[in-house]
Amino acid sequence: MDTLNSFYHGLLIAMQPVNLFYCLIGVTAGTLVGVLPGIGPTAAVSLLLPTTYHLNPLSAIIMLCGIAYGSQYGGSTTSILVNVPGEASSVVTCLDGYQMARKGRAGPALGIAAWGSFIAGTISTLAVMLLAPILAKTALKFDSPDYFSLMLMALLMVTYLVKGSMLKALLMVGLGFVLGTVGMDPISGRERFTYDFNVLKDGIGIIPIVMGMFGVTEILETMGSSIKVEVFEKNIKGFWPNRQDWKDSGAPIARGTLLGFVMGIFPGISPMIPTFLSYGLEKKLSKHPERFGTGMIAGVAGPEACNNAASAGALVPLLSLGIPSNAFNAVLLGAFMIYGLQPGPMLIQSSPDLFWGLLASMYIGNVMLLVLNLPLIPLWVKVLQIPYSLLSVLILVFCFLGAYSINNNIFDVIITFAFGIFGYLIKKFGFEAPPLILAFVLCPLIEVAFRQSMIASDGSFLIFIQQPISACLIVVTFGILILGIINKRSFVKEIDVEE
Amino acid sequence: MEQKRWCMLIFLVSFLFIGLESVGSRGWIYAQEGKFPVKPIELVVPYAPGGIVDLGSRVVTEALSRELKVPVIVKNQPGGGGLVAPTAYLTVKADGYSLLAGSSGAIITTNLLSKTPAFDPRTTFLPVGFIADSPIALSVPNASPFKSIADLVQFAKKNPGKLKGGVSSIGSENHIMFMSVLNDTKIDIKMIPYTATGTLVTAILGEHVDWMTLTLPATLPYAKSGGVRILALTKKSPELPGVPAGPAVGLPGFSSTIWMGILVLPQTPKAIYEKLVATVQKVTQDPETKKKLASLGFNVNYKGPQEFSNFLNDQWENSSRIIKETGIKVN
Repeated sequence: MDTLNSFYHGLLIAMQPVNLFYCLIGVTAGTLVGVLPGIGPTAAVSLLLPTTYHLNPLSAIIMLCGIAYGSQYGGSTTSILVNVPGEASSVVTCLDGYQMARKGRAGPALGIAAWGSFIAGTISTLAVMLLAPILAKTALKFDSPDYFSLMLMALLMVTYLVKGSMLKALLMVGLGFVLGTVGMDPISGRERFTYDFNVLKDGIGIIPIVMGMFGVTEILETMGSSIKVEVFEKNIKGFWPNRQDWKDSGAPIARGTLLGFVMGIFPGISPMIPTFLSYGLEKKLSKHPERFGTGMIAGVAGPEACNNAASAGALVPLLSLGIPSNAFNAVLLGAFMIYGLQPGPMLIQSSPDLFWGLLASMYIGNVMLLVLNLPLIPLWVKVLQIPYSLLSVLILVFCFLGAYSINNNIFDVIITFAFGIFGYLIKKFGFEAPPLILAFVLCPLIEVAFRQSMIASDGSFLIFIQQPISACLIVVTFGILILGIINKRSFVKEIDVEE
Repeated sequence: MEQKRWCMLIFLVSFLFIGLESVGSRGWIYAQEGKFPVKPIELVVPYAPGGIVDLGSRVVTEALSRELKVPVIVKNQPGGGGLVAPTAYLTVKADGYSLLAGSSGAIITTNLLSKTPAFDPRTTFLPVGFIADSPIALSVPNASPFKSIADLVQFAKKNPGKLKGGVSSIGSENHIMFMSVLNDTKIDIKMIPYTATGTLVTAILGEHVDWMTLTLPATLPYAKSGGVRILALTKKSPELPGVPAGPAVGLPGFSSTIWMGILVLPQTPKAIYEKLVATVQKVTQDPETKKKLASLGFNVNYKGPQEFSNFLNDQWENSSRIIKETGIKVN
């Protein structure tokens, strides 16, 4: 009852015109940041921070948070329309979302992404409100071996990401790992595969890789095909998800929300990882796994709900412990500090107005985003009617601008282009990009967790089964593997047969 | 007629100015006219948006804009652990319109650890002003039995290889200070590197490591909320009067700070340079700026060019000594 009262009080604060106004600015800016490839919420918030100094802290924080979850709404738009992930966490949305658009179903894809984001955003805000202190303590229980086992389990999902040959997928995983090791060795600090290029010291960025391998590759492929293909079917079949779409998306949204929220509370795990897991999970549970990658709405609904839930989940360690779990939350922590607020266990007691006001504003913000995004859908779909010869140039320009804006460095543009060509070549030979990207994102996490565990255990592998959490995860991982081998209707076989 | 002549005159004068502008690429025209600045100034920050130096720089640029009456913009140029920006900065035009936000990591530590350093921080750059610094803290989880550095060292000496110490980002000032503790006390512990502040803090709050070295701004929130206990700082802080500085508790090397200062190239015209020096000094006295920097964990501690230069020499020597003695090698 107390929570309800506090929340009601928070709602009154969030409803004040000034706070509503800044909430609207935040979510609008967030949508824009999400739509534009390259520019992420972290950079946007750092740039906007000085302009908020004269505001009252609550309005400012409401606006900055609005940018974060707003960008998760916008990120799917470019993924679906032109196969360029607007945010790193919308990569998976490209797989089925873009295929839906090509079949003339861009509207339902965008619609379900917006509704999925809304449902996930609302439910996970509720979860932050009720469970934050308890959940934060759980995150603290995870030691390096537990992280390693968790990531190992995530890696299993690679098997569910492929459409074609498993062997080729595993080759891509290997390559993803190699690319992931470029840069400074996280444990000893030595340079690996940098060839004395200063820019390679920090490794290759994820944004140039995904923009290259999705956006640029797509354009090269269209240009490279000798027969002039019409990329999009002319007749657009409806703007809104129909009854069947809803039936197919309900459960994926629920599962995506849960997965995203739970993974989101662990510091250091990028929101990309749960979206891959969500996609893999939907494919595994689907009655028609073979149709994934050809425009299944479940493959859009799950991951899109997931990335919103993950972004809310990341607020758990920030608000209840003061731990920034990703780069964006680190900036947010800086903002809190500039306003003289201290996120952490004392926040609810010391600034209840802020805590409840912020959470209440997130409900309002999510409603605003829905109202903002749904009417935009017909407009977005119109974008597809631009002749592809023109659209492709625009896409290229946005990709390269986005790549340049990350570090103000031309090198990222070269990387984007190089991965575009690389993506085109591997596609010609029947390889797929998603396993490479998942391996690339997981590589640093797996490596660091593994080596931290090895240092702690003096090189004994037993550490992974001595710690209870890790042991459970390892058992589940190997369980899935063994079941896959003995089960006749195993997933791998299904794919082989299909080929 | 009259009007036409005026137009002609204005045209000629502006033409002359355009001509002089290109001649005056070394900036003497502004220097002679005393008109600086006439266009936006950029402050090159060697880190991605969001870090403490980045946030601090944004506070400073806001104040500089107010003072210089032109926009002062942060240009983030991350990469190479901070090395990309100062290296690229060597090629900018030395006209005072591009300033370098120097910090311990980018200018000193990373450079010392680099195989082929492109610059020497003591001579390549001209210090404009040292703005603020912040100590590094050595802390333990609150439930830890260690109440002082002596307790920690005593236990570690009796149980070599038992304790686990956490450090965030190898090659950073935090890492050098971690190694200085080992070097000064000759204890044998396991060093577990973390890649981000967030994961390291999670580890210490979850008691997966026994102690850590981390900047005070990043540590202080958890000390206040009762998650960790700070045993020593590299420099005494007004916020924590009871916590001793490293040299006072037998850690002479535990004395480097995280700092922020502004540098330019030595070719910068003298008049412009002097104006910049005066402006930076003025900005550091502004109570509002001081307050904002303090809330980020920085102690505003202005040093003029000469003092700043001496400071660079001291830090360079302390860090290079520790690196040599502990054999830290990253390349």
